[in-house]
Amino acid sequence: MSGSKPDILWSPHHADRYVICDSELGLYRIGPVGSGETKAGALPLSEETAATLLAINSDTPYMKCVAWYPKHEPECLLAVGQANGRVVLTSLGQSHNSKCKELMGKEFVPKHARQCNTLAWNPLDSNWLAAGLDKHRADFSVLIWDISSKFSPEASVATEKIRLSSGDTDSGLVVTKPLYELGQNDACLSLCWLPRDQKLLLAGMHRNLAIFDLRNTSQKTFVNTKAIQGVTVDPHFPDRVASFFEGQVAIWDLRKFEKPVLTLTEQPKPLTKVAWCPTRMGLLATLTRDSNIIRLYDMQHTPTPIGDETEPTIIERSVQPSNSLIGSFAWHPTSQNRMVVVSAANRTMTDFTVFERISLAWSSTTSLMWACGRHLYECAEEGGVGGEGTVEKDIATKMRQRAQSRYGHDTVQVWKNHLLAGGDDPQLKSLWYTLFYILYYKLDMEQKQQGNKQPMVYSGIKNIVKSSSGTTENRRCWSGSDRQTDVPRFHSEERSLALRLCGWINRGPDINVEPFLRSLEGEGEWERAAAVALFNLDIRRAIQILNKGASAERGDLNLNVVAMALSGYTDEKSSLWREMCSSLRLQLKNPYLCVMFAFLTSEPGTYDGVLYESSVAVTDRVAFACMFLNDTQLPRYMEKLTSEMKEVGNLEGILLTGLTKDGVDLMESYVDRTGDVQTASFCMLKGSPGEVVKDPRVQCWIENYRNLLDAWRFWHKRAEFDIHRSKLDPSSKPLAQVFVSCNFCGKSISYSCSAMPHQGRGFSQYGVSGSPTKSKVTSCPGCRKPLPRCALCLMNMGTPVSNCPGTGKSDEKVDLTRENKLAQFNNWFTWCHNCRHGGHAGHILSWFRDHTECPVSTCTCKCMQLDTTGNMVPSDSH
Amino acid sequence: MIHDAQMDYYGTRLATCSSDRSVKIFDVKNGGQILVADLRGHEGPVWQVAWAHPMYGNILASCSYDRKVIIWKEENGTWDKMYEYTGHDSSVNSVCWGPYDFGLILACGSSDGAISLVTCSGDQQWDIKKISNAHTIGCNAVSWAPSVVPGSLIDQPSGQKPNFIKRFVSGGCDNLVKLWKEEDGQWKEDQKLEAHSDWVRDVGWAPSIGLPTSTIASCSQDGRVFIWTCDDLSGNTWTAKLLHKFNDVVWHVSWSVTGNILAVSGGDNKVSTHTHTRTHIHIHTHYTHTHGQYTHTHAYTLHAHTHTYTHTHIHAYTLHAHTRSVHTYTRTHIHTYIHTYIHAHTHTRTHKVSTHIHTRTHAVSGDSFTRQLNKLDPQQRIIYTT
Repeated sequence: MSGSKPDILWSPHHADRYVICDSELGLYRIGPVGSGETKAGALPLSEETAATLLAINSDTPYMKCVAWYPKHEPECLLAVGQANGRVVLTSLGQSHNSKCKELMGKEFVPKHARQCNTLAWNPLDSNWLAAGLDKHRADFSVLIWDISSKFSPEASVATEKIRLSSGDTDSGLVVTKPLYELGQNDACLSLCWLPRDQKLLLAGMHRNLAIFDLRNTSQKTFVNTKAIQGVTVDPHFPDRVASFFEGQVAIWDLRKFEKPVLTLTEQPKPLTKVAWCPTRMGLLATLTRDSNIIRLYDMQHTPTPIGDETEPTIIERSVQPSNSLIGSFAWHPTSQNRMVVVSAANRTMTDFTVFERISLAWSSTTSLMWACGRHLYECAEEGGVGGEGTVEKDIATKMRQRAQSRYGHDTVQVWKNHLLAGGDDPQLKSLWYTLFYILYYKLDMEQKQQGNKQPMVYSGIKNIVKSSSGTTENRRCWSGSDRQTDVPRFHSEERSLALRLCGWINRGPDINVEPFLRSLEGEGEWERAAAVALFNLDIRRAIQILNKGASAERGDLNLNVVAMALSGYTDEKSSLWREMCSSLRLQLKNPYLCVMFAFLTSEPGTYDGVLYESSVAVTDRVAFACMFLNDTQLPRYMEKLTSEMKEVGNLEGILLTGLTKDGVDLMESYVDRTGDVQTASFCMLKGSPGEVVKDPRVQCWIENYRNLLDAWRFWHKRAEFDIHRSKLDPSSKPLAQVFVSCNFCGKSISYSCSAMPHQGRGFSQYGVSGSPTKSKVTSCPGCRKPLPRCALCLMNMGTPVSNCPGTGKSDEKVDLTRENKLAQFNNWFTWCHNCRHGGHAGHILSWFRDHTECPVSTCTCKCMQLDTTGNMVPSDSH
Repeated sequence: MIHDAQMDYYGTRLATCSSDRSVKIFDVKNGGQILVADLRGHEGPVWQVAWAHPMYGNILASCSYDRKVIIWKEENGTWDKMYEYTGHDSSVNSVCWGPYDFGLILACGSSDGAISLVTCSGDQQWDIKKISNAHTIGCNAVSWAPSVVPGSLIDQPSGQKPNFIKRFVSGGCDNLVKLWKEEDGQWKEDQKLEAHSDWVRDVGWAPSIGLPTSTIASCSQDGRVFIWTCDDLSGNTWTAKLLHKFNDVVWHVSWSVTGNILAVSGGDNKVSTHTHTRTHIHIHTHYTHTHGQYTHTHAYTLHAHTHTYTHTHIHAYTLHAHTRSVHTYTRTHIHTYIHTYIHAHTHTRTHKVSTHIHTRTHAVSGDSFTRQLNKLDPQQRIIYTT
């Protein structure tokens, strides 16, 4: 306004308009970027918004302060205070109605010319405009004008004088008689009307803050202070006022006006603007000179009643809307926490929002919630539907899906578990095949082994081959040709076991890879099959496989070319074939094709090209090593590969480590990498009975997995897991927690019936009369007194439940045959721990579906609500 | 204004607290939101809420500017005050329940600089232990360590009740992160972690799934997020790793249930998730902007390791929980297709326009990924908007 410092004013009624004033007034409209309304000349304010210049008004020179008329009509009416103390009404934009025309250009002139510092429209009686002026001897410094007042003839003389000085003023539009004159012999620097009462005006005078009451202008309430600039009332708390002086902000409570309730002094430079946020409680923004930050004071406390001496907590924050120095800012009147900032130097404008604190919370199902301002957001991970490929899901989501597909529970076809896991993870595939072979060959070994020692298959190929003895070496012919190869192959019982665990050969004495080759062909893994055939020195079979692969549906014709190259094999050391193969094989994309030529071109005993090709499956490399490495090389290679696998936590390495402590180490680094406690738990349980399950790390994974199932409300899954676990690891079976004893003889009824010949599973068998002929146990086996009655059907416990309580016995048989399994649970004893009433589980459950109180007529116990999780539905219900 | 929102253990109930002094509980089963309870009792803004483990019943703790901590309990379907703790001299900023194995124990951090440990010693008896002057000027956050049996790698003599080491972490206005440990029933300062240059706003001890390694995330007014790790069993050597430096205050950090993802919220109105493992850090960022009446969410993913086409589906809804007038909620579907190399198309239904954001950045891998991010100004990550 002083020419150098711009200021911003938002339109009080149009949320998209504001005025920038420096030497002239510019009206802007703000809108989204690229919308039809914004023209080509729009100024970008942020990524989403841009401003269009609507009008410029440069009619009023020497502007010192501007105030926007607070009512709807006429819109765009502005009062401008000038350096000579005059207040001029002006407008922006084209459309003026008659009322506005009348007011336009109207001037309000003080007796003595001096700078007008501030203007304030009365928010209720909008004809009243207060102007604060500099001091002029004993003259008044606060003048309240009535904009509707007509030209006053009495003052015409004075007007004449002024006209001489200012020139072209239309005398009909000049008003010189103010409605009220206040603040004699003083200066006024800032003004604001108090929302408490339209007749109260707060003024920052020369050395004090004063409240003028227009009903009695002779009196004023005042307090001496230096903080007299920029008085402003908190729109959310009409008794709270902020004012400033130099670098200090004072917060006042008008009910306790003697001293500021709070002073904020942390700014070395003088302040230029202080403003309360109109959309948010207790947020004050301050700006200092030559600064590119806006400092925010968050007074997030409710108005303290008088007498409470607690210091309000203030959270201080600095925000930087742009990189340039800020000239001024203005809060948007309605948009939450939003402001427009204008830079001091080049009048660049920025649309800026002060963001609230965002609080975060994860739910157990990996959805993230966050609260910001008045909104709450939830962001859930969803499966990638359609599209090419999917984003790698978080392990928690994966585990949840796998738990639902009964992953880990296939105990017969163990390898199928990798399909239950989704079938797209090669490491899991390898792991489950390894576990499958371990369990498959376990029986063989058990027969040979004595004692309770865990069969050797569990200890992994690394340990199996270490114990290898009686290795024989032989040189075989290339099958299909009688050429003697110089490739020595090694055999031993342990090596054969290793090959079996790798899946290359079946049970039996001879080494026959043909079934394995056929299954690979069936899966379309042509390159892998050819490599396996070649490693078994059957070059003809390898070529045949490649030919088949080339002619297969969607087959790669290049395989024929590879076959051709293969057929030219010669064991001559210096042949061109050898030379070209060693150099060109590296260009083959498929690792199996690559290792085939590596094998053919390498010297016996030095197969690094095959052994260290990391894209070849670990299984195949291990099997290869078991065939072609001698007793000194093999353990060394195994050791090296194992530590490599352990390092990266590659599950394929379980083949080497087996379910041993080494295996747990490997699994540890896998869990560390992925967090997949589910796979870890299921895998290690297969190692039972053995030491691995007792490893505290394994116990920890199992506990964590059970907790996860609990948190997901997969209670049935957890029960299944516990059953699965207790089958494999009997030591984990929980002890019985509840015993039912007879009211009469005090003996446990389950104890007494375990002594009876025809049963064995506690009291759950009461009433589980699988065959109708079996006698029902409705009395205590100890003393023959009847068992208590079910609160609903009034039958003695032990009587099988009928579908609807109270119906005749005729339904019973039908029930038992049809829902035998369900009936087992329905017949169970159940009772409330609080009121001790109970009955058949099935009856009690159906009762509480519709009722909250206990079924026993005089009992008011709300049994079901005592159980905090009783009303929760399991999310995996069958 | 909502200050905190927390899901219970099962993810079926949501507790929120606000500056209107209320604590509200919503039933969020099956995707809906039903107001179950509106708990009144605080006389100031309520800063935080915390759910106790469900084994102890439905118990919720809330802390407020009014210096009080209230423990609420649901009994017979109605929520009532179970206990009111008034031992702090200033605003209580943070509450956190200890793990299930520690019993019903609540840690409270206050602006008076003290941390209180409120333990239920059975039958409505509450035992208070107070650590005075834990953080000068004030404590902003507390977070419990997951329960670990001491010497868990050594075989535990069977039958003996495991003696859990109780530990928690706190962050405060003295720019420090402090670890506390209970020894012989007394709370002692165990470690003092210094790295932040301004108030520590939040701390989060990661759930340890499987391993004795401890991980803590801390964030501060200085815009930095640190990941503290401790590998040795004695718990004495902690190493700090700067996860990211933001340009504005970082308000909160939060670990997912498996401890694999860290969510971070900052003053730049951004929520980012960091997939955290020992070897990789992926960063996914979701923006939340609140411009007046409408809300929109940007989402984009940076993937460091793959060159494949990726596709995320983000589902967001807003719910006006604490406004006096409106009780509507809008559902926003944001389909985000992300090309790793990186082309992102953002469709926001609320906008009725679809913006296509093409960002090009270098695909980097491993540790250099974080460094790359440091160079990029978060604001600049959406570089071209067409």
